[in-house]
Amino acid sequence: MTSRAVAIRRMWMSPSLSGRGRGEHVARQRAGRRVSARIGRDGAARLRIEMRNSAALRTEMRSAGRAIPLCGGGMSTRRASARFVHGRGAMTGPPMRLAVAALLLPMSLGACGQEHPGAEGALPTRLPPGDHATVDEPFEPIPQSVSLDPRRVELGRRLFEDPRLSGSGERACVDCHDLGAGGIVPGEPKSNHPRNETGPYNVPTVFNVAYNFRFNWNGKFETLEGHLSGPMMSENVMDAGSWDALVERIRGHYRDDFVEAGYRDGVDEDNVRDALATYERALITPNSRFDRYLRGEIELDEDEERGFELFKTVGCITCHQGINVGGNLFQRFGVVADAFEGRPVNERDMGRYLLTGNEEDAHVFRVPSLRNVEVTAPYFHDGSAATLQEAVKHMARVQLGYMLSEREVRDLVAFLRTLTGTLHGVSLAKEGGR
Amino acid sequence: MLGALRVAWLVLGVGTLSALGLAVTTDVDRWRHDQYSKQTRRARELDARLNEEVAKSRLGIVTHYDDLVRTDDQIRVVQDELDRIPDYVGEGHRSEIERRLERYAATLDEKRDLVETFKSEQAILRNSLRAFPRSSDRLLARIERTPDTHRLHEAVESLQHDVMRLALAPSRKLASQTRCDLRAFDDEPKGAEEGCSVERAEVPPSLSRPVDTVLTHARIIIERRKSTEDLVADIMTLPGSERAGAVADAYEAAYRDAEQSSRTRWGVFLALGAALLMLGAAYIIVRLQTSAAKLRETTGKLSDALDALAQERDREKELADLKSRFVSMTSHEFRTPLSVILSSSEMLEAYGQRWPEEKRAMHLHRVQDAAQKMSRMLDGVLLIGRAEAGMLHLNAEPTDVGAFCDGVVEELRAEIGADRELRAIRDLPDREVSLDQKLLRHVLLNLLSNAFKYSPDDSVVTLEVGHDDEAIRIEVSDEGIGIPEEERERLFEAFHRCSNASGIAGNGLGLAVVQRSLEVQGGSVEVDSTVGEGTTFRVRVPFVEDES
Repeated sequence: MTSRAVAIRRMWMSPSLSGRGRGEHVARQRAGRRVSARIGRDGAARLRIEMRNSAALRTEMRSAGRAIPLCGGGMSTRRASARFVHGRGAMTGPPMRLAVAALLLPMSLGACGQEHPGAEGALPTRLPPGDHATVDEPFEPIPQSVSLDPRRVELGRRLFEDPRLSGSGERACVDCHDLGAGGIVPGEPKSNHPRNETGPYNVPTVFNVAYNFRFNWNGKFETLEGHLSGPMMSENVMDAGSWDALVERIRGHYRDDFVEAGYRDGVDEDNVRDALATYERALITPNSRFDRYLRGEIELDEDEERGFELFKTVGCITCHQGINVGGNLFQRFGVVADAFEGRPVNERDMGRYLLTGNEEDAHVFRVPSLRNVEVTAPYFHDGSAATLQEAVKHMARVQLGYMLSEREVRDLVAFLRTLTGTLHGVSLAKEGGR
Repeated sequence: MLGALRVAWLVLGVGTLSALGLAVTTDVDRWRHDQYSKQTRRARELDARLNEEVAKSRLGIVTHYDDLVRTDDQIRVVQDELDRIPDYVGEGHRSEIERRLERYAATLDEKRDLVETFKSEQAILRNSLRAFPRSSDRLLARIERTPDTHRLHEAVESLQHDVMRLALAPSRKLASQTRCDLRAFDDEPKGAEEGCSVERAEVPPSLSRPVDTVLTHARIIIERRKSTEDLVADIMTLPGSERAGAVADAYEAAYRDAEQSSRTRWGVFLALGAALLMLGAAYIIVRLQTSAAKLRETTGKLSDALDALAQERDREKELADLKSRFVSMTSHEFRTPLSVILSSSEMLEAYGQRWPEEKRAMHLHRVQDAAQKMSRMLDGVLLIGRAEAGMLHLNAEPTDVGAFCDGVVEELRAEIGADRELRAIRDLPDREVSLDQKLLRHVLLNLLSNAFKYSPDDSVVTLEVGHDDEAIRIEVSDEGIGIPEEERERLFEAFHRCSNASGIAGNGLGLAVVQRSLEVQGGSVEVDSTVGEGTTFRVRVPFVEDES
């Protein structure tokens, strides 16, 4: 890093702009130098360095709207774009970009508690960091806000609700991932067969997917962008035909929107994926009772607390852990006992064996997240458990070898209810629960 | 020479520019190098971190798997970055780096698979480790409440004891021991096998379920206790860091080479630039030299011109001198006869009546002579002047040479008197020839006059006239004072009088007139003379051709 960049970094010592509202913030004013930042309407921060002495060099730097992922992530200078206003070309090129990155560094330090998805060009990161928990448990609260480009989130939302993406033109993503119904298919749950007749698998929730390490029940996909190919091209789901066909169908309706959202190439496959994935990452449900408990804001009720203890002692916690209370490993369905006892085993029950061909992967699935489990009935990959109580009892028996008493089941379910979060401030739980 | 240099310079200039272009475009981007080597370092760091997290998970220090996922994510990012090999890496190095990246990726994929397996196995094992003591204790309690279960109690107790010890410190002995314990619960115990003699334990139906649970946990612990540890060992010994290090090494070598070639290219550019400069200097020098040579040439020409001018000037000066001399001599020569005329005529006027006839005739003759002298001098001056101005033209007419000569001699008699002897030898042409009589008269008259003037009274002057087909030859000899050797060159100059002729009157124009007249006629004159003995002039005058 050039000495100049280092000097700039030292100058910029004030921690963060995160959490600040729109308007001008003067960070530092020294003889001959004035550094200020302005957070614009679109959430992008504009940094301005005015140096009186050197011929009124004014450099306006603008972050691309996405802060640089830091906490555990790498730093890339590709994200910041620098525009020069009345500048002399002295500060150009790589040293400048490093300086810009250095400047944005403290911004992202303060914004560490927020989600930092990958920016254009870089691979998207999974499991962004969560909020800080005061309780010492292997969980993290979902962060209360994310820093994503709002234009892209909005564009993604429109695509998510657009039935033109499907081959038939009648089905949109939102039809099976209803946000008002827990991110899954709306309507009354039926047992022993999946909600939607169109696919072999129970529809997983679309909430908090940014915190899953793989997608689909068999964990086929590693990224949200990659995962989109699955449902899009599947005949049972969206039956889009091909990405080219899909893009052609929607191009006319989104002509300028993509460019306005910052996609230079307009409507193409990568940008559609990116917009949709950005929207999906925005679908977080923070502030569940459990998260508030983790942050030390509230105490759990007695039954919830008993349920939590059982959760730990029975052993659910060994697989349903982490920020998403699950979603970060594979596990066999039926560890100590046969999960499919008393019913025929069909193809979809084979799990990852269908991907890898390893016998050891038979009945191995991606461990789902338990967040919002209260509102995502039915349960399991085939929807064979209609109620949470059924699911809990089955799990305890076949995974852990425990025969739970009714009281224990009630307590566990009470605990699981605390995992229900809020969307736009409104709890997902319906009156009385299920 | 200059042209060749110019071409060479142009060629070299093009070469230098392209060398510069090459050096600049293939210059090693320092910043990119920093980026890339940072990634190679990071790859190793992340591999170490992955191992660390697996160990922490194994030891139960960390009880969630989010960190493993995040580290794996960062490794993916680094892999992606490393796949973007910088442009300045040469072809050979690039393929080597790619090869090593593939091996690194393969190792990482293997590691990832093992880590996934570890996560699931570890979870199961931990659960069983937690569940087994509790469930086996509860089972034992229930067995104690159930009658006729002594053997079962024994078997379960033994199993619990051995499995717990196995859980703490696995060994082969314990492994076989526990397996032996398990056989007690088999439907058909195999009996004595490898030192395992165990009696079958009957399980009452009411207890079959909890016994199954305990046995399952026991089996899980027995099977996975060692295997999980082996799995961790495999993960940690996979050479992820080494492979990343290999990539880093290959890249470093590539970078050094790129730096080297970059330096070489810059060196080539500098060398070419220096050669260009030197060639340019050489070109300038050569140009300067040629200009200097031209300058010298011009200067030489200038000095030549100046010399010529100086010569002209000298000649002009001579001419001016000559002119002034001419003027002074002429005026001097004119003054003498003029004064004679004046004095004689004045005296005649004053005393003429009293003088005797002879005296009067003498003075009159003096006046006439003086006038004639002046007239002759004037003629001579005019002729010379006309000759100098190029206005003396040949006017040929048919001439009877004999008659002509007679006429001239008769004219001369008046001047020299009757006493002087003239010997004449004649070989005349038999017809009339074409000659310029006026000019020839000048020649003959002056030569004869000089011969008589510059020889004693009693000497003989010889006139020989001859001819050939093309010219007439006249030879005039005398026995006079002769012409000194050193004055031959200046003999025909106007107003020149020889040093030995100071006692004899003359104006120095005679021979000048002879020469000018001969020049116009195309003739020539030769002189032979010995001082004190005599002089011979030989003249040749060609006949004038008819230009028809």
